[in-house]
Amino acid sequence: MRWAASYAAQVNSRSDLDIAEERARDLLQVTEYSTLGEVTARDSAEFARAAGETDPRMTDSDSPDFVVHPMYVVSLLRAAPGRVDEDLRPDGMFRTEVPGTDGLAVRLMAGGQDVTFHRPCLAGDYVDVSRTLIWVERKDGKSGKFLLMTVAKTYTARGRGIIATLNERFIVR
Amino acid sequence: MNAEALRPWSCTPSHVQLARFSAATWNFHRIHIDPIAAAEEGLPGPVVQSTLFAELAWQAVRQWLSEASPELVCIEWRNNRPVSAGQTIRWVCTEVTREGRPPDELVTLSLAALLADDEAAVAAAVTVRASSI
Repeated sequence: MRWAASYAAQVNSRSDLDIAEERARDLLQVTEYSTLGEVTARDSAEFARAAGETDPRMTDSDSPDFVVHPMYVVSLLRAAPGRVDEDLRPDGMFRTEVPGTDGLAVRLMAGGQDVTFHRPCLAGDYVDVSRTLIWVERKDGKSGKFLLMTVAKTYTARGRGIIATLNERFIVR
Repeated sequence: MNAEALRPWSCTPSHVQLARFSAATWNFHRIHIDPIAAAEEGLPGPVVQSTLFAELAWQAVRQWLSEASPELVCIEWRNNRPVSAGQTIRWVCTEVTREGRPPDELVTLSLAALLADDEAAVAAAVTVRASSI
């Protein structure tokens, strides 16, 4: 039964990174749907101010020329969450933000994005989001092995159409 | 418009800004707000959020196109190294390219976010509609 012990040893020696990769590959091309809820001028204006914006058209929700900051909805990680503590990893990331990493002792970093804007988001829009993991790659770097993951997202205003599409890259160590 | 004529634009994200930005985006990742958590991940301090880099790149472009109200078509960026709160970022335009024909012509400004050692923490590209500038 030495083979069983050897197999068990191999399985048990899998790192959390190995497990994350395995789970992620199972999630490739699986689309998840969620909603950001209603976009409000007040929240968008606070976002603009937090980003250091000075243009009153984006920072003053009472401005007659008010426009939602173009990066607002694509920067949101969630709508106002409900059971916040249960949704979060110990590092503060949402458990489902990086596919396959829930419950694993891996470090997560954002690698960047490319975003295409299709139509302006308007205050009052109800925005839905679809997310699909489209790429998983294991790499070797100076600091050790890591995973590169790419998630494709589509933001849609109900009744009006697509606001933005993007690819977002994550680094998992 | 050529890249050399566009003066660098600098900004210095503060700890307070990072905390405020995390709140506004429901981003509770502790590396942006907690010095201890940042240190545990080998970072010198709380680091600038990825999407905040994009906002700052957009602000830099609008500084350079200050006479216009540019229409944002695309934005892309790559995070090369973390930037801590309190570090000054100097945005420089490295290239300006045009594609297409009026009225659909697009202008892309490529940017680098340079730190004090002149290393590029972020490489970005912002595309606007030429008719809007």
